[in-house]
Amino acid sequence: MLDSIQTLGQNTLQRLEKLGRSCLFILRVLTGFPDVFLRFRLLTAQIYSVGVLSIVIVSVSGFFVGMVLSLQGYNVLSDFGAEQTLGVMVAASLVRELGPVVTALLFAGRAGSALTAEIGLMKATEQLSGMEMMAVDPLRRIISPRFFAGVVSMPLLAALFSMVGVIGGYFVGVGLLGVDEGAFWSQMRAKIDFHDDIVNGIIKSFVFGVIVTWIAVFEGYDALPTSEGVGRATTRSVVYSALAVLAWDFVLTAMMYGDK
Amino acid sequence: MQQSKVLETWVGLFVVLGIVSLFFLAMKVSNLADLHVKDDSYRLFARFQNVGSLRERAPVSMAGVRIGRVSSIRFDNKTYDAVVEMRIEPQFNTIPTDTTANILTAGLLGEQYIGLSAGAEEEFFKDGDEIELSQSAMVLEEVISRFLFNKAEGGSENKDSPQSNPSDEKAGQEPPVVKDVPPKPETKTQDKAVINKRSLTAPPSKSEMDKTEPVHKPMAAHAKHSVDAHSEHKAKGASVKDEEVTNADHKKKSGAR
Repeated sequence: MLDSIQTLGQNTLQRLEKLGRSCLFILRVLTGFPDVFLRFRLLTAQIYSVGVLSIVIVSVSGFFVGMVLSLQGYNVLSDFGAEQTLGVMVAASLVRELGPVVTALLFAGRAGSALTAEIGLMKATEQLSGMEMMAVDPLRRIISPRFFAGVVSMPLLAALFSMVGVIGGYFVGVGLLGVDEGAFWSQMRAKIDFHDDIVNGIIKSFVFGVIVTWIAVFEGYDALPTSEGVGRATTRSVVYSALAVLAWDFVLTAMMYGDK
Repeated sequence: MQQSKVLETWVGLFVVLGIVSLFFLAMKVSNLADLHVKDDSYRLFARFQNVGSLRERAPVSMAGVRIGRVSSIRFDNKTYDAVVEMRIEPQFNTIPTDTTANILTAGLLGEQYIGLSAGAEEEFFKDGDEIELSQSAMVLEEVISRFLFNKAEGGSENKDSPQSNPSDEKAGQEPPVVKDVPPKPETKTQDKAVINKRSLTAPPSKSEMDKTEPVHKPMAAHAKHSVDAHSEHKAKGASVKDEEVTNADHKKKSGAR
């Protein structure tokens, strides 16, 4: 009985300690911000591996998500004779929710896990310690460029996801199901507000970018320097990212649209 | 060095792609800007007392076939009605000059669009012409309140008015209207017929109206007023016009209420 309570306390303290470490860690990463622009090529290389290589998965999933939304939405809306608002439905759900959230989940799977594994392996093979020996700060040389690459890439990927999704929805709705093209676009343009919907969506994707990349680089940096530890860190990175993204999505949505 | 150039190119492409997506979302999906597409279509104008929830880029159709789009909706400061500019595709250049423009609804909750019902004139519309015969959008509240009002009025003043209505309705129907878009113009013309009838028979019911229908008192008073004011010219067309003005006033009132 006492043992189990002790274990609980130990776990709680460990969690809190980890949270504290991750906050200190992110502070040090953020202070490396100016260095990122001094060594711009590092950032470019990371944007390539984090962002450019995610384009394909993000746009393909966006296309299919848009098509499915359109198909399902049509079935429901046609019961009410309101197929013409299909464009609004597709665009609103993509721009407000699915774009940022699904992109963040894909991003956690595609780029976050890679970041964690890469950094964890660097730690396991003592490359990070080696850098410290050479008086190179691994946080500034390795972590900061990766972190900022993730933060820059996420909004761009989310915008790409939404755009491709809307095109996919258009393709199914107008092309296959025969919704009027003008009504599709005009209703969409009439109902989707630039500030309320698009800007809020971008803010969301930015926040998710910070969360996912933060978790990914921290888990890698904090991994046990063994092959098993790196594997676990990678799993944790994806799981925590997904949970954090979904929870924060609720918080952000409540803040953005809650009081209407 | 070569390697990093390739990388930089890819990253540049990625950023461009992201910005293009944002631009697309801003311009095409949201209401930030309305891009104007220039083509060789020609413009027609129509004035409406009430455009309902008609929007730009709504379809303009004739016999159910889309022949153009609404390109802009403006408000006329002098006549207090909406001026709708339509762009009609160039191959549909034989629209008679006595064509009627109606604002119709696709389905009960659907989007509103403009339906043109062809007339019989030999002359055709040219670029920049105005369609003179127009029928406003159906606003559900107005239709319901008018119906209730008519019912109350008809019941108190003239018992056999429901029976005489159908014949009026038939007389009011113009053949092309019925042919083009079957369900809605019928109700519209019925409306119109009822309006004509009411505005011509309204004055005697002055006291009765106030008595029987206290809820609609402001509207009733108004209708009475406008009919009184213009009772010298009882031409059919004129009274229809007055009635429409009254409706607009009534709407203003109910909005303020």
